[in-house]
Amino acid sequence: MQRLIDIYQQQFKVNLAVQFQYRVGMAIWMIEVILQPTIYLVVWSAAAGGGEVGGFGAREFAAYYIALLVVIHATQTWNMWEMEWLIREGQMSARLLRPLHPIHVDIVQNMSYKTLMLFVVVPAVLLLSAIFNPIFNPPLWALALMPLVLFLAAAMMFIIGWVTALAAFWTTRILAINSLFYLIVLFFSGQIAPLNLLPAPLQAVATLLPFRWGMAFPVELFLGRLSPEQALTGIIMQVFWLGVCLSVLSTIWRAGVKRYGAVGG
Amino acid sequence: MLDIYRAQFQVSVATYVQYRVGVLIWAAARLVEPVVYIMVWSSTAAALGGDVGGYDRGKITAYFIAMMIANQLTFAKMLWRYELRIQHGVLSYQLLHPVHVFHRDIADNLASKALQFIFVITSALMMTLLFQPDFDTPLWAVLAFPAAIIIAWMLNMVIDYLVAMSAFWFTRTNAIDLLFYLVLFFFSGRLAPLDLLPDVVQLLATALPFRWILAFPAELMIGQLTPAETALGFAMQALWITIGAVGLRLAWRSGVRHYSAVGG
Repeated sequence: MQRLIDIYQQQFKVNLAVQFQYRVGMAIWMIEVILQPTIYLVVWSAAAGGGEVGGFGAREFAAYYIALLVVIHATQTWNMWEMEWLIREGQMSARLLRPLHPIHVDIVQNMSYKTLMLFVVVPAVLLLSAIFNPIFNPPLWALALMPLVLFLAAAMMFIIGWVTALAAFWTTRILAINSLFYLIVLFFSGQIAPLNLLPAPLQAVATLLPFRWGMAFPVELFLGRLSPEQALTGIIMQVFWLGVCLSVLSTIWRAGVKRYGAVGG
Repeated sequence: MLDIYRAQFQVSVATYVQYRVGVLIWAAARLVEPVVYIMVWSSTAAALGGDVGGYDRGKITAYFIAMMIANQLTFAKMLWRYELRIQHGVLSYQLLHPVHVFHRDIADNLASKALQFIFVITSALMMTLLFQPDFDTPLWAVLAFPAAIIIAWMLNMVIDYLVAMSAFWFTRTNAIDLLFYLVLFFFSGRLAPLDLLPDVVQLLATALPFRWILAFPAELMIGQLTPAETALGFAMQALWITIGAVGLRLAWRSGVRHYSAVGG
């Protein structure tokens, strides 16, 4: 365990240095992280006008999307965009030879990137809060649960992203798969609209899928919109999905590596 | 030239038939999007007492069906192609062909549209039966629509190519691709009819090219536009195609020079 922590520390430093080199890419991601929730915020505030939609007025929408910005940042993964390249270019071979599972490299990369981006996310949140006047109303118990819920959400979304990325072992149509995945997350995680604005059938689908528990759930908790029972359900769903995804991951990973060795060797 | 197009078209169709799964996934993505928007905005309209920004349920449905068709007929998606070509150096020998590499892309784009169009027509018909859209299109608008959509396709190709040229300077373009998608998404009216947005955003959307690629043909198709607004639409399309084409010419030239300098 101590060895793993040492490796993480080293990788973390290396990653910070590497990502600092890719300033342009970072600047673009940064614009995106801020722009996307702002867009929805603008659209929904305008749509609500002076009134309310599904219990959301303009200031509630502001709170929702500002909290969502933070949650999106905390749960972001991008491995499915990189895996294809790693496999195609044979970079995966080198990673497989290391004594450590390749996922650890990505975990550290993910954490170091998110740490760096805090310098962007925090000012963005303050700025948007100053402009849009959000109403946050979380009870104390919800605040206390936030770190756990965010951690579970990030872990779950990361593993889902990795499972999706593994499709690159089997197909070259990664762009299509990633785009569809992106759309599904967009709709069923509560990004397009708070989920209680969706018609009942779509809400039911969202409840069955994991994405709601990775995004909408932490947001609603932070807004003070959930009862303790609902919060408990959310945490159970997060743990459930994390378990499911981890077991899928270990199964697929083995099959994928076998296939990779056979074809790309 | 026509023979070249025909040959490339046939090759592309054959290739896409081989990649059936990819084509199907794209078709599914294009169908999921309007269905969800119709549901989201219809329930919003209901919550607001019948209509949102002048759009009631029937209008919203018509708008997003029209948007799906416009989106399908105008999509370009060139960036990832150029990223791959440049990374792998495939562009080197494509540049040696006597025919400009753009022609290959255009023929390929048409082939992919031809195949996916079958899905789109089917989905549009299904959605029309299911959701009962409210089309209120005058005859002159029906006649103007083909011209609007063809020019919109040309405009989108030019703009998309401009973005794709960034692959000459950046080797990893996912971030740019997503950013472009997001801007297009918002300012083209794909997320919500532009009438619903605040005035400042509408003004910005009017000045930018994206509105004239998607929202304009879609609004024309559902009978939202007056003849004067339609004329403005065509004028803006022409203006942006001209600006885009000049920019593209410059970007292509300096891009190719940059490419040979680094990747040679």
